[in-house]
Amino acid sequence: MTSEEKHKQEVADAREYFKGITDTVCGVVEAKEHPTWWLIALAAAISVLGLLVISLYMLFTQGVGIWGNNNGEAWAWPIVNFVFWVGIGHAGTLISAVLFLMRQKWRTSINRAAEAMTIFAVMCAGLFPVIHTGRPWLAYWLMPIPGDMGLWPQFRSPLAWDVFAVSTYATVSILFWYMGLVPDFATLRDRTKSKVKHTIYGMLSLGWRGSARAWHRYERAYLIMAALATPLVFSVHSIVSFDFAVGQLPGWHTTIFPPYFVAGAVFSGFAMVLTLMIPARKLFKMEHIITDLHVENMTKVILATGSMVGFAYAIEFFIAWYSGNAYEGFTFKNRAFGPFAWAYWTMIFCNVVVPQFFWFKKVRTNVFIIFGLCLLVNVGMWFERFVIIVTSLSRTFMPGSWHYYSPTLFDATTFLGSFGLFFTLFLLFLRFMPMIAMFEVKGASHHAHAGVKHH
Amino acid sequence: MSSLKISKSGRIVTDSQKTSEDRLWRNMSELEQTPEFEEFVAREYPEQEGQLANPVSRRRFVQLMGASFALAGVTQGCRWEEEKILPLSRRPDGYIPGVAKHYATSFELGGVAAGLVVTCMEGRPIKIEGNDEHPYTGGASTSLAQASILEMYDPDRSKSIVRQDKGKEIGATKSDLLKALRALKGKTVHVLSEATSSPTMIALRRQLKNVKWHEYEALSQDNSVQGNKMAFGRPMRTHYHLDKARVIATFDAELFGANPAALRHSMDIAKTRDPDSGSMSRIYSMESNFSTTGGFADHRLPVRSELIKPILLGLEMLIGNRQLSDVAADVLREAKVADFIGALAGDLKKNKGSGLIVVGNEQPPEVHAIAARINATLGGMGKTVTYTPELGNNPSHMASLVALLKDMNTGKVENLIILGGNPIYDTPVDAEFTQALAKVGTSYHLSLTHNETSKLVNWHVNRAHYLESWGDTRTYDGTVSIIQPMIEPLYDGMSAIEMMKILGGDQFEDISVEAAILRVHGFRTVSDKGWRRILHAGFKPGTAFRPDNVQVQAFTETPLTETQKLGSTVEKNLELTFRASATYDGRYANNGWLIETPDFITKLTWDNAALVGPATARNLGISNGDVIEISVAGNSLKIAAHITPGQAPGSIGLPLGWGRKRAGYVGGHEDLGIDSIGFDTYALRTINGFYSVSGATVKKTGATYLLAETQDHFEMDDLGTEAIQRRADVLIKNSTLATYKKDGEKIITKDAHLPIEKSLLKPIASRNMNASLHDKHDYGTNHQWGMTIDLGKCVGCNACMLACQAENNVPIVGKEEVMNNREMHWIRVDRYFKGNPDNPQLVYQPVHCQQCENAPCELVCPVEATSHSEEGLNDMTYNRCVGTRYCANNCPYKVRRFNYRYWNKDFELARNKVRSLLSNPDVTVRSRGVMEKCTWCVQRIERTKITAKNNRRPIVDGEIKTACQQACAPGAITFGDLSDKESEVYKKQDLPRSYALLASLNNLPRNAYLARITNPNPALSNEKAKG
Repeated sequence: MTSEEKHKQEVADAREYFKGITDTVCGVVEAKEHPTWWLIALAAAISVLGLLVISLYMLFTQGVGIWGNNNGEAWAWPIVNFVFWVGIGHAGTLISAVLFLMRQKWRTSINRAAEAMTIFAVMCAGLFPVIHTGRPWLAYWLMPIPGDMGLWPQFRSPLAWDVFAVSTYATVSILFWYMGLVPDFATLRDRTKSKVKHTIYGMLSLGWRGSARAWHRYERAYLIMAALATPLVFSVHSIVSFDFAVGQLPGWHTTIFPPYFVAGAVFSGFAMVLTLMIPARKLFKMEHIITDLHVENMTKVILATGSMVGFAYAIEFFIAWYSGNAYEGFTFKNRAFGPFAWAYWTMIFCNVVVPQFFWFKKVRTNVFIIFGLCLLVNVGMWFERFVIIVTSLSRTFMPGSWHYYSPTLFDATTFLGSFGLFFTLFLLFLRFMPMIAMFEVKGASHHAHAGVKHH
Repeated sequence: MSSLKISKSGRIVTDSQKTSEDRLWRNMSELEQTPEFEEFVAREYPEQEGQLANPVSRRRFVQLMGASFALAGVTQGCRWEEEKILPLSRRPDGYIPGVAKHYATSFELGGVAAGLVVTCMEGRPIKIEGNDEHPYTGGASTSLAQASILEMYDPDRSKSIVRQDKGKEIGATKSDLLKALRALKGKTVHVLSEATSSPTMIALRRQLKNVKWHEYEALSQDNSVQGNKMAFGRPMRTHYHLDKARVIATFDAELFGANPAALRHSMDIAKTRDPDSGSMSRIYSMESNFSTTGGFADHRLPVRSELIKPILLGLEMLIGNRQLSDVAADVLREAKVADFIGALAGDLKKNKGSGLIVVGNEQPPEVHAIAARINATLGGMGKTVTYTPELGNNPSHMASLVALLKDMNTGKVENLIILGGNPIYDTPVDAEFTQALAKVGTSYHLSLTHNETSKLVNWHVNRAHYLESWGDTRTYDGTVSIIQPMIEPLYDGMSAIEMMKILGGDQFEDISVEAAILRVHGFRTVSDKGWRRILHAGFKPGTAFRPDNVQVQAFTETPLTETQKLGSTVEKNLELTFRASATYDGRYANNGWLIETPDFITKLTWDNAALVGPATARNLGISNGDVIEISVAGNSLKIAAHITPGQAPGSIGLPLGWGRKRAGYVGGHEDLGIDSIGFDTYALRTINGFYSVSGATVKKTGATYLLAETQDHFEMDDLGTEAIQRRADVLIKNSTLATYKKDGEKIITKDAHLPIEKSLLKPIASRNMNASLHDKHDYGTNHQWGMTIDLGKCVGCNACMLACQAENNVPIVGKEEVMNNREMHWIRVDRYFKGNPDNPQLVYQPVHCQQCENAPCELVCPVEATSHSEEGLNDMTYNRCVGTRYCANNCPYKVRRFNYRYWNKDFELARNKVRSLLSNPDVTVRSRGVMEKCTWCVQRIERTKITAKNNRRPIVDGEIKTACQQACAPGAITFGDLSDKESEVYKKQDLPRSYALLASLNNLPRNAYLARITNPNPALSNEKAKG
């Protein structure tokens, strides 16, 4: 084959490949019929979301007393859930921004879904601090709103920092996500034959024409956004960890919290991405886009961050002993051997033991095992926050105020309901938006260089 | 409340609510009972409410909470309720809205008074305090007196007269009743009254020749009086002078709790517990139930109640009265008992003339007589103990009751008037009062509530509360104290004097009660200056009883019983003891404040339980919360068991006054379908086993029961127990007098295992804050409020908790929410048991907001709802609080309380409107979703500042008293200005034993605790090691 023919062949192959990607990804969006499994899943998700609606109705009419919180455990499940969801919301931006900056091309197949997951997780996360206040209708007082009373939030409070950290993170994540969607919306616009859809996609794609200049500017902007988003990955969970680290409580008042929380967040975020993408790629037949290699890479990240988290647990214990602070020492002994020991050992098993299986190639390549292990990691990370918040609060300085904590039915329905919210949004996303960044996948494949003369 | 029925439609109706035709009505809307009209009635005429307002959804507060899970549209209305006000067109004389008025009156319980000053706002009494000027009871008050104001506003009070014949209700008005009572004139009338020391009532009784008077109280001082009769030949009242005693030994005695002289005892003992002035008394306590006295004592030994007699005889032997052979009881040969009474006897011999033996009223008369004999030997007569003659030669309450029962059962009682009380409920089970009552011709019952007894009488008469009526009474020392009304009777009730006055007696028939009292006290008109002075002061000076010189006579002693000869470790013979509880004898069973105040020892709320010591529990195989069946003398009772450290082995404590069937919405009511709270231990109380009974059997039923404790909510694991043992000494510093003399300040810093707790103990002026990273607050020249709590003076009476509740509109939350750890008390008392669970040391500490200078709560509030005042207080801005609860997390003292629900929601029910009249208008009633906490009664501080400023004078040290401090009889709490170096609080914070709680956190609390210094006998110092 001459080089000319080879070129032609390459270009033809690339066209074929690109068309395949476009057809697969757009096919999901353009399909007239809803897949049966999707309808069933959506119905289930909306039912669970209904639980959240009922729980919130009860909450607003009855007060936070419907939960298990009490004098000692002023924070409990709602804040556990908040930190849990914020943690989940870490993978998206990490994958999109940090891995982008690190030129990890395998990210392209999962970044869109991971970003969407981030946004939905942050929405779930944002819900909890608001509804867990005693008077949620006044929660906006945490925002710096100018008023004639001259009342501002108290900027020394980590909760005020949280407001900025989480809202900034949410804003940047949404912008970043939307920016990535623009070229793909344009593709959808160009493919659709419906006038209505054409108009909607036309608006969403902001008049994208795909000119070289546009692409040039786009890529610069994307790089800048990535650079802006990267510190946020680290700042959000650091600041969330300040909610605890700034407190005086033994078990909270710890300098290790920011890095430990960030590692934990990435850990849980990646586990969640895998939990979602393993079934999704199967159901939408996208194994050729989200390949086994991608999955394996993600398990390695989980192994790394899981080990960091395990290390942090060990260091916490060591410092509690080494500091000689009797209250701190007791808190940690109490975590491991007190009334909540079951929660502690669940956490240790799920977060420290489970990821160690990823040392084995056989495990890393078996999606069923990966799926199972990732579910356990999600459970473990929820328990991590439970251990930090509830176990510490249940036995603080004054034994006279010690109390065992039990959640109520509404604690459970509110938490479960937040999954309903998450999955409803995620399922809608899967069906109505390009769940894979088509142009990025194309750009990252070797076909992208087809037709380029090699000298 | 008038009697209640269930209508056909399932609603509960009062008798006056039958059909519109048979009622009088005032206008059409009243006849139709429109909602507007009902609302109007509820607001304007709370006294009419029970009859006119439609009692919708009558549920108990707790049930209301529990039912909130139901989805039924319970909506939170707007936050600010719209109210229409009707201004007065002319201001009544002396009435200034918003300015409190204070009046002196008296509170009578079991025939013994306490002097009070009542704060009234806009004509409604809102707070009860002790009468500073009263020579006997002083400025403090008991928890019962504090809570009695809630009793007046109790929506469950009876609001009308109820007449019954053969179980059927007949409509009756007050004039019908008056007619019926007047018809009794000249006829033989039996009266069963509560104990009363009212001089007017006594005068009235003398007039009423045909009245056969009987008195009954479920708890009384009879045994002491009868014992003195044995010892001295005539009934005498015992007065202990704790301030004059150096060595005090109590035997099954409660000095500071349910004791008629509790306030005096508390004040007196405090004078002898000041380690800084150098001399301290020493207290020994032997008892069956863990009492606050036992907790306060330097040495305590739990023994069965019945062993007190042999032990006292043994003690008598040791101080030289007796031959050894006289007392053949195994218990004296036990090392712990022998050591204990050996050391005690040694101390008593060393302190001739200043020793004192105190015996609890639950002990039989003979033991009191023996104690009198020992006190005489010790030379304490006339010094540490005095005796005054009892009024008249009355039989004991039990003898009086038995005599009445005999008359009733033989059909001799034509007319029976029961003045107060609740004999159906609180008489011994074998007295069979119900059967006897059925044989009475016509029965009348004067009562605040339509209770168990009211249901079975022919005439129930709604009683006027003491805050609504005129009366007189005497304190324990005899000082005549006046009861004057603070408010018109809310439901047109009658007082006991008023009712008896109708029966005749030439002198009193046609005059008012006030006039009758005037006459009895020798005044002619209400404007008489002498009378005005007495009214103003609240008491008649110089009317105390005069102590008599007494000589102990020989009396016949009964031989020891078989079980008394057994040692204290024998558990085969189980003894039951009956004691007063939070509801006293059951009369306060509907008083939410008292019921939710945790018992000082058990920390139980909303229930009583059988108190079983750990050893006994092991022996019987019982664990906490097991339902056990106790049988004795043919009666049996199923009751939850509470494992109580320090309860004597072989002795089960049964607090009285629970399990009421007709108490009300709080305490349970059979007609309303509301379960009783607690267990009715009267079911086991018999005439012969009135305070204690031997030979009980216990068996497990297999059922368990949830008890609401505010501490130790769950069975503590070893890890937690160990931490508590370690922390108890760090949080609650204590030392002995000898060590304190030697080491001074070092007693605070002795524990090296935990961070040093004494870094900033100097009063605020001399605190070294240079090391701090925090900016110093600029306090300027403002007052700097500070407080000290002397742990060595706290006697565990809980009065501070009740006073705080009343002052600060602190809500109650119900049993379920207590179990959820959501109780709202701004001040609590943490108590820990240290050492051997069978004979532990009790350490305790009242904890409220410590008002930190570097307050961890202030830092973390995102909306600045809690902030620092220029006077050093942590202020709460309720309407700025959004309820993140971060402050509560970050408070190391866990004193912040969150409104998880709208606790005051039940006030909005029409039937409860009257209850909201009790609220202190100076303190915001908090809504759902906001945080609250102790403010050191900032409203009192501000009020005093305003008064001082208006009078152009500085605030005098001690002028401001917080509610808790005001109620504290032993004076453990001191409040004042730390910027004034002459202030009491400054001096106390400067004492070497003053320390800040968790000082190592550098929160710089403005409250300091004074370490508890005990004065143990060196001869018993090994006792702790032995445990």
